[in-house]
Parts: sequence; structure tokens; C-alpha cells
Amino acid sequence: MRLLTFAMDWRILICILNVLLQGGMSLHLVELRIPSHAVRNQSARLECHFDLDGETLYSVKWYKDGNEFYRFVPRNMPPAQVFPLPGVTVDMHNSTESQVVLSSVQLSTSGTYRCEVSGEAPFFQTVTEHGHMIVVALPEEEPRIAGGRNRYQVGDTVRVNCTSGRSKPAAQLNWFINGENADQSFLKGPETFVTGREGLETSVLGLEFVVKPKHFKQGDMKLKCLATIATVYWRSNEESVEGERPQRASVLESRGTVAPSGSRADRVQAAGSSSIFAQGITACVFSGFFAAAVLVVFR
Amino acid sequence: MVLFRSRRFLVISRILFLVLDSLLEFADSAAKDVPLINMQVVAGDPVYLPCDISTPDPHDQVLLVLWYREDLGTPIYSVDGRDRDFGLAERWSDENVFANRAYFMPEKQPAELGVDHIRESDQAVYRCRVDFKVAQTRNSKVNLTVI
Repeated sequence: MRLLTFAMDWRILICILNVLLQGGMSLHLVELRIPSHAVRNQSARLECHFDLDGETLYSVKWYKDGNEFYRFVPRNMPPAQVFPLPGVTVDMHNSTESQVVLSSVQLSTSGTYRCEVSGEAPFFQTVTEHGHMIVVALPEEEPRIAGGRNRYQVGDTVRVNCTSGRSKPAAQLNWFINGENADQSFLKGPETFVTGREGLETSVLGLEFVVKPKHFKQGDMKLKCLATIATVYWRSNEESVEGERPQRASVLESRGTVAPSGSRADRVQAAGSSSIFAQGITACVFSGFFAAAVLVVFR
Repeated sequence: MVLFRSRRFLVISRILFLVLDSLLEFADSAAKDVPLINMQVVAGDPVYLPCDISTPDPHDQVLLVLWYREDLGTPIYSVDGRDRDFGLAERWSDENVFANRAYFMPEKQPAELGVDHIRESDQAVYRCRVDFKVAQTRNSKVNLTVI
């Protein structure tokens, strides 16, 4: 029994040694860095850092979708070699045993990139890892807002569309009302259209809602459309619309005329001591102003 | 007590290997565009794993053939002809995998790695990598099922 126990322990020791030898003290990849998104016509750097841990390097090979396009073999002269592959242009000056730089990437450069590092004979120890890269064609135009009016009053329906510039992939659109994410129920779409020979995409996201008093901040309502593509594109467009001044509610109208515009309120606040009082008046005048607007609607 | 602990260790390590296996299979499915063929073999029979080593350009030459089992980092069989004629290439077989059961046959069309007396433990995905002097490296896989 004691002999068996000893035998088991001995096995475990060998097992642990094996793990140490194979996992901790041999050729291994330290980091593979493939940008998830690269911008068309720009360069992209793919990094593959490895620790030889006493091994001699035999080869570093780079594959795109299974096809080798770059290899680095120290015993060859020159060590670096490139293979033609559609959409892949290697910048030889900046490519080494631990990185390849692709110059002027195109939509066809998107794909799965694999780095494979092998040690020398007799074991040819090999480690490999892969990552995906998507090349983005950025929109040339910023997102456009269409269909809006200059003025709205409470009870009106806002119907606007935001259209992103042509890109690949399509931009993600988002609407903000006064800087806050628009309610999901206000959104119509998005719809995506493919246009042109390159298959670039345009998205359209509608925003539709009934104006409520809370939608005006100091008499203004700001509608912002934000277009994003992953982390490489971030562009927005904002329209500011005014709340409509009531025409016939004469009593309130006079207050409405007193109602300070944004700049006027700023001036009052700048006066310092009277600022709280002024704000109180402003708030009061504003609620009157909205009441007037509602009155106009229901007349 | 020590025996009990040892058993538990073995169970845990076996579970760990199963988890690792499934992870590797997932990683494998992401590696597209490497041709894969499925083969079945009865335990005890020999199997011939194909590996195309033909050169697209007659002036090119095969330098090195490496066979990997997908769950192991190091090759399990190699034919190193980098410093000599490929017919005289140095052959090496992993003692823990095929040992002297394996023999490479470069003259076949396509070339094959013969393995005698297949065991259940030989069931795996094997990858053959062919390094040429000039041409692109060629990779191909065989999914071997032992029945």
C-alpha cells in the first residue's frame, strides 16, 4: 500500500514537471495584437510577441485566411519574404520577426490573421494564435438631419431622419434629445441601404415623438444625431430648435416677451446677488410660456 | 490520505484537459481556409494520412514537413530536408505519440504518413505543414476518427 502511494506521488511529480517544462519553460506567445478595426487607406500594424525561452527561432509565419503572406526565417538571406495576396501589401521596412505592417489597407484586407512561431530542430516547437481585423471605409460626409422645422410647440410631433454618410460597415446611429439618449420608442429603424459599386452602406434612423414641456431646455430643444463605427469613427450633427412663441394668449404673451432668452439669463446670472431671484423668475416665466403654448394648441 | 488526494488531482487534471480540448476545438473552427478531410479507421488497422508535398514550381523544393496533433504544441513527426536532399531527409517521430509506428512515404501521390496499429488514443485532428524553399507554406488537416 505504501509502495503504491509512493508510485502515485512519483507520477504526479512527473506530471507537474511536464506542465512546468511545457507551459512555463518553453517557446510561448506573449501577445498577439491584431487591431479589430483598421481604417481604409491607412496602415495597420499586426504584432506577434513571443518568448523563445532558450529555443532558437526557425520561423515566424503570418497567414491571412489560411494563406501565408509573410515569413521570417533567420537562417535565410534575406530573412523576410513576402507572398502576394489580394488586398495585402506588406511594408517590408517596418516588418520584423515580431510584427508586420500592412500599408494602405483595403476592404479586401479584412480577414483572419494568424501568427505561427516555430523553434529549430529537433523539436520544431510551434505556437500559433489568430485574430480578426475589419477594414472600415469611413463616411466622407457627416450624418445629416432632415425633416425638422425651425420651431416646435408642445403637442407638435417631431419627425426627423438622420442619414449617415456612405461607409462600410454601416454607421451605427443614435439620437439624443438635449444631450440625453432618446427613448427607444421614439426611434424608427434603422434601415440600411447598400449603394454603389463598392457596396458602401448608408443607414437611416428616424426620430418621432410628441413634444412635451420637458423637451425644452431654456426655450430650446437640441436634437443630436451621432454616427459611430466601432472605435474608429465618431461624428455627430446637432440641430437646435426653438419653442414657438405664443401669438394670441395676450396675458401670457406679455410675460413671454419678458422671458429672457438664453443669453439674457446668462447676463442676469452674471449679476451675482440677484441670480437666485432671477432664476426663480425665469422658471416662473417659462412655465407661463409653456402654458401659453398649450393654450394655443387647444384653441 | 495521500492516495485520495492523488486521485482527486488526477480527476481535476482530467476535467481540465476536457475543458482545454473543447477550447481548442473552438479555436480550430475559427481557422478557416485550411483544407480538412475526415478519415475513419478501425482500431488495430494501419492508416495513411495524406499530405500534398508537390511543388507548384519545378525549380522549387520541399524543405521540411511537420505533422502536428492539434492538441499538442510540438510536432509529432518531422521530415527535415533543409540541409540535404529531401530523399535523405532526417525523420523524427515523437516517442509518446506514434513512435516507430509511423513512416513517411514521400513518393506516394499525394505523400502519406503511414501509421500502424492505430489506437483509440490516436483519434485527433492532425495538421500537416509543408515548408517550401520558394512557395507559400501549405497546411492541410485530417480529422481522424477511430472506430
